[in-house]
Amino acid sequence: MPDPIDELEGFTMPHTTPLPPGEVRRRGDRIRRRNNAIAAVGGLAVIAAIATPFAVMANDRTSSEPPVAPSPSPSVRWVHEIPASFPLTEGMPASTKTRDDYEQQAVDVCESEAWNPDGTTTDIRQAIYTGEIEGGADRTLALYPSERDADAALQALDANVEGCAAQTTGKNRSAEVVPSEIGDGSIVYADHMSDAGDMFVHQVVRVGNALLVDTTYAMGGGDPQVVQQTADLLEERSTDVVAAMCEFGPGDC
Amino acid sequence: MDEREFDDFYSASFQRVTAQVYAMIGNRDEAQECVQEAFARAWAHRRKLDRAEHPEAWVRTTAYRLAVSRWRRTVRSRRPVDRAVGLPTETAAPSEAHVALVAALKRLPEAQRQTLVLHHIADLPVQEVAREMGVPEGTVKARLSRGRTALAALLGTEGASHA
Repeated sequence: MPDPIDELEGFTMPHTTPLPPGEVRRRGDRIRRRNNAIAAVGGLAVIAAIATPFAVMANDRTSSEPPVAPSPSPSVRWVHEIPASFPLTEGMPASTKTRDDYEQQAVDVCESEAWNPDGTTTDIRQAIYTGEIEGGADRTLALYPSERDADAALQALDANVEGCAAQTTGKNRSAEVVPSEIGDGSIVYADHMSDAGDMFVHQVVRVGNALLVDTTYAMGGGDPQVVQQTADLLEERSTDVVAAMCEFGPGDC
Repeated sequence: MDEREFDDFYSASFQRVTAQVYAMIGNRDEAQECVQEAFARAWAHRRKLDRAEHPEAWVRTTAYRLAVSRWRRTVRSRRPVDRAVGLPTETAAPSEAHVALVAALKRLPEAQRQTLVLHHIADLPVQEVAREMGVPEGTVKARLSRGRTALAALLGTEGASHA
């Protein structure tokens, strides 16, 4: 039997038949479109609902009547207060406490890395669970004046995290962006606190003018599988909450 | 990254990354599908990829995580894996030594297998392996040492030695 390391170093894969690059790009474009689809469909539904009565009225007019000036583009009325019934603590332990304020629970890897409401939100609510032994989790819902403001906050966070990850790669204390299936309206990242594997994993999701910031503490961060598992757990645990956020989107739930 | 740059990147890296992910997970078809999906996501997130220092490492890590995630979902739900992307693969029959090596790799602990693949197949230096896996260099060296010994034992070549 040959030396296994020589075998490893000469490891090749029998010829495969990959998709043409253009097909892969089209799939990538579909992923991108899917990520933006919910907001777009909701927006169209609102426009259609408003535009239909105008169309009916226009059809009823006689040709001698002067044309009606086009109405301004309908603007979406964003929700600026979190309803009392919003299920913020869904999926969190029973002893989770909520507050109508925000205080950062996790530790940053880089200065000013984490999301911060920064006085720009119209309403905010935070749920905090403090673990019995170590760590804990917290979840915050913040509403912004508009979708554009919420998106700007998400993009600013994305830039902070990407910058921090670039600066700290390979260091014991580092930030890592986790590939996520949630899409362009979200950011998932892990802040590794030391080489002992302790970390905070964050999932930030935007729907309409709302941001949901979910954070959990975990160990085992040296293993990429554990990082991914923790991110998956956050996603699973917040599924119902993210679904309930549709009331902050431009369309009906 | 424009279309032409992406196409060049994809054409140059696909076979190599697929072989690496195959060695990590031991399933050729699954490796190909996950790498294909990872490249599609790379195109969808090309702005991020432009900022990535090592785009190939980004694709490899994404493909590996997709494979792990799909495996977990399949085990949980006992459903066949998603076939969203990928043509039916047409591959030549692998050699006996190749089959034995893949089987032996699959029997190694996850971390040792990944470390061996990144160092010996992806040809990354210890420092790069440490960066990609998020562990200290000493841990990588220890995993390499244990992994080589375990692999040799599994393949019945204990006498083989490597620096």
